[in-house]
Amino acid sequence: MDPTIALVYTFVFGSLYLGMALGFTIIAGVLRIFNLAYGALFLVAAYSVWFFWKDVGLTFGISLILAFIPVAAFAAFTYLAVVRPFIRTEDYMLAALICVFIIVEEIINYFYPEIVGVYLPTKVAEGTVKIGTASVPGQMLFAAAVSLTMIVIYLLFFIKTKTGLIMRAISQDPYASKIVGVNFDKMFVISMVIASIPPAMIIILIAPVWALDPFVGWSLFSYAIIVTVLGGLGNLKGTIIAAYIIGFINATVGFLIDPRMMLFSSLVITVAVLVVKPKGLARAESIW
Amino acid sequence: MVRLEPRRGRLILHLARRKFDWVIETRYWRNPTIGFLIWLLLPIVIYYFASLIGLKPVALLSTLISANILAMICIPLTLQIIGTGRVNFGPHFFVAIGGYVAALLSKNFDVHPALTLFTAFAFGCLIGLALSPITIISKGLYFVLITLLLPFILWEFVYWRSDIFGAETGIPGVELLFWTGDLITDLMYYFYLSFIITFVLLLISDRVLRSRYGFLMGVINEDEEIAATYGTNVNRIKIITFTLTSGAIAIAGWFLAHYQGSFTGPAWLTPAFLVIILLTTTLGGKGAIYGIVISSYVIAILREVTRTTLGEFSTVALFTILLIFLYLLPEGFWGLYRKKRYREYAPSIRIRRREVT
Amino acid sequence: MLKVENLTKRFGGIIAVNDVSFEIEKGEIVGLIGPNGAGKSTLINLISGFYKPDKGKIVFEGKDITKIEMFKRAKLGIARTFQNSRIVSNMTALMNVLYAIIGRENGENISLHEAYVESIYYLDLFGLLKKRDILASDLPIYELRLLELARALALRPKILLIDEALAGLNPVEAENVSKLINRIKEEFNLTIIWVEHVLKVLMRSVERVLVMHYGKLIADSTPAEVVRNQQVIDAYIGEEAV
Ligand SMILES: Nc1ncnc2c1ncn2[C@@H]1O[C@H](COP(=O)(O)OP(=O)(O)OP(=O)(O)O)[C@@H](O)[C@H]1O
Ligand SMILES: [Mg+2]
Repeated sequence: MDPTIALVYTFVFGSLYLGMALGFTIIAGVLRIFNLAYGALFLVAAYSVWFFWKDVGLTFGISLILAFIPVAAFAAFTYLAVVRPFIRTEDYMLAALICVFIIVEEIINYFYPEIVGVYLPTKVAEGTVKIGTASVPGQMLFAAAVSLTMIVIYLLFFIKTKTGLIMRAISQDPYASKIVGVNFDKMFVISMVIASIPPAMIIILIAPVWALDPFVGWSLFSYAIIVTVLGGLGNLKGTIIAAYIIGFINATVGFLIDPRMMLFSSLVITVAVLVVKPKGLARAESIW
Repeated sequence: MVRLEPRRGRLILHLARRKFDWVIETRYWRNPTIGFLIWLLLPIVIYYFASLIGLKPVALLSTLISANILAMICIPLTLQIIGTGRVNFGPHFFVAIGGYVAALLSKNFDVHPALTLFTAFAFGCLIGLALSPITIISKGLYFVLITLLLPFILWEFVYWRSDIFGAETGIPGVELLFWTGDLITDLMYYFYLSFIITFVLLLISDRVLRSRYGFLMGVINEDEEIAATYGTNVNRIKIITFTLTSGAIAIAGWFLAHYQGSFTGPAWLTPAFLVIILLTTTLGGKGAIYGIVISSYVIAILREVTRTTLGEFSTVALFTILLIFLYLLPEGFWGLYRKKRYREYAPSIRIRRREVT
Repeated sequence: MLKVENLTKRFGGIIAVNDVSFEIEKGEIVGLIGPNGAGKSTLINLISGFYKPDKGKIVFEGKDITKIEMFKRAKLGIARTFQNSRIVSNMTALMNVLYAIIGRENGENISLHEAYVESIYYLDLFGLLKKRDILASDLPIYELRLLELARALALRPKILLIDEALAGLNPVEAENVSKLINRIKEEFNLTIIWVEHVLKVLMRSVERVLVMHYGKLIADSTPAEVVRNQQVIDAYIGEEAV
């Protein structure tokens, strides 16, 4: 295989997976929980745009912006209604979170089944871009760039702002932060909300190239899980490394062996790594 | 004059000058016997009841069978959770393993169901044994994650080799266990077979949990470092538990394959099925194996009722109800009946446990 | 009986136990003291197998046990208590003794009934018989300390490692516990290493004291000599100054 193709697709896939996993990692890092309802955010985002655009009749641009309101509301709701009541009983919490995910999925499937043909015309770049011998759909490249930008913004947020600092402190030592008097509820809601933005952005951008149906959440979510788990459950450095490793695996497996084996091989490799390094690539001592 | 007087542990009915009193303190019941009898007679009662009011008993019977299947999965799972101190989020992986083994053997090599049962169990054990090191290496959320990924792997694998596994069309042509020509009779047979399997699993689990090993498993569930500090070979117990319970869960897959005459992995490898299994286990009452029988019946019946009455909206309704149960019944169904009796150890299932001192 | 050679344990940058060597004879009762963070608990954890040492050797009754798993050390006769009383709080007092007995016998050589009877014996020894059916989470700290000793004793150990049996107790209770420790030592023919911060009580009960400071063993002699040792005084004064 041409190394350029491998390189370009590693970059594109890696960046996309990073974008999908970003919010999930933040939640795992700050709240130290595993938000299994995360996949629903993709759906809420995409279908909210459609709802505002087609059902309410707003312009597409306004719908795009308004869609972030239900997304944020859903994230806050997840925390307040599911995570907080079950914070001490994690088995209940995880089960309840999957429950919420399935409920959202089914509600959306009820109102907008696949035959409705939901699509989002967010195509910014037409056609394919040629980089050396590799040709990439321009939209994918654009989405990858946006996802990289988001990473940078979030890193700056965690490093520069006071809220980001507090979140890092919580992720490092929740016990000490509690003593210092951090308002956990507020911080957790904020984390959940800011963590809900990246998946929404990603789904909106890749909607034109990715088939949109009410059950698309799980396939995107599975990449978020793989990357986050491989990266060490809530460590952004690890997540970045893991995203590009998975990107590389998918690029090579997809082009060299069989595209249908992409997810399978990433899963197998992730589990294999976890068996050797049970805590992922970077130990999740803190978020950054 | 009729007066009903509820007292602590008993209900007294004053009828004129006579008094009837019922002990409702469950402690004095011969609970296991009563439960067993109800369970045993349930399909027959339902059958006659249904024919009395002109209902078709087929749906009712198959609901009972699916309840038994659920219990077949959840009883070994509970045992596994207690004995390994970890919550397995991939039990349906082992169901699918059992199902595929039985279906492939039966379809391609015409193997007798008794033999496929044995192979399914053995293969489940084998895979469980191969995976058992993860019960030692990882714990808490990490264990949840690895086990959560297992069904996804199988799912992808099944789609990749759809020539063998048939992906979403499944593997047809599996030998049926009972084929009398009369659907109701068949279903009765299937019910009693699943009943026997569940009951045997229940008895075995009960015996194990009451034994010395069961007690040590309880300690592992609470704090495996303490168990090791006081002389328990924790790893051995964890590996044995994980291996055997994995095999036992695979039996449910075997039953499914021979009951439906085909096996379709993607139908069972879904997160929805995982949630149903997990909620059956937790709503059963945190490690109470008797509670699981209750909760699997409640959930299976609930699933059937929502499916028939609500149509397209049924899944939403079902999971909403289950979610509400989670809020309202933190102790599970069994917790409603079980009095706090300290003499009996009641396991508490948690995912994240205390780290090193 | 127990020999420790050049034992070293690092946690990241800190050297919690630094090149510690000593030997303990059968039947001795040895105090192990030192300021907070000196590495006493880490040393206990190394001997009982909780941690693997980075360097060094642990020899128990002539057998190198450095690489042996924790549960096997328990079977060899090394029992311990925990600084923060790690009792299984979801079990009754009796059950907490019971699993030590079943664990000791591999779960094989003893019936559940015999194990019950035996645990009652140990509970009675510490005056906990009346509390046998009370959940450990409902027991006060004094009884938890006693229960921990009972549980450790149920292993039929040869050596008992005690990590702060008196912390959080009032003087009367502390006196009781210390007397009990001396009594079981005689009755069960035990060797004891006893980590304690309550020096007054400890010094009266032991024949020999090991002092640790910043992971190093800085003194090893009789209680009378230790209190006159300049290094030891400095270590403790240093702590108070902080
Ligand atoms: N699991 C661990 N991880 C990292 N550092 C540790 C760990 N256990 C102990 N330490 C460090 O090792 C040093 C020695 O700790 P240790 O608990 O052995 O002290 P100690 O003498 O028992 O103190 P105390 O009297 O307070 O109980 C301390 O600096 C502690 O922070
Ligand atoms: Mg200590």
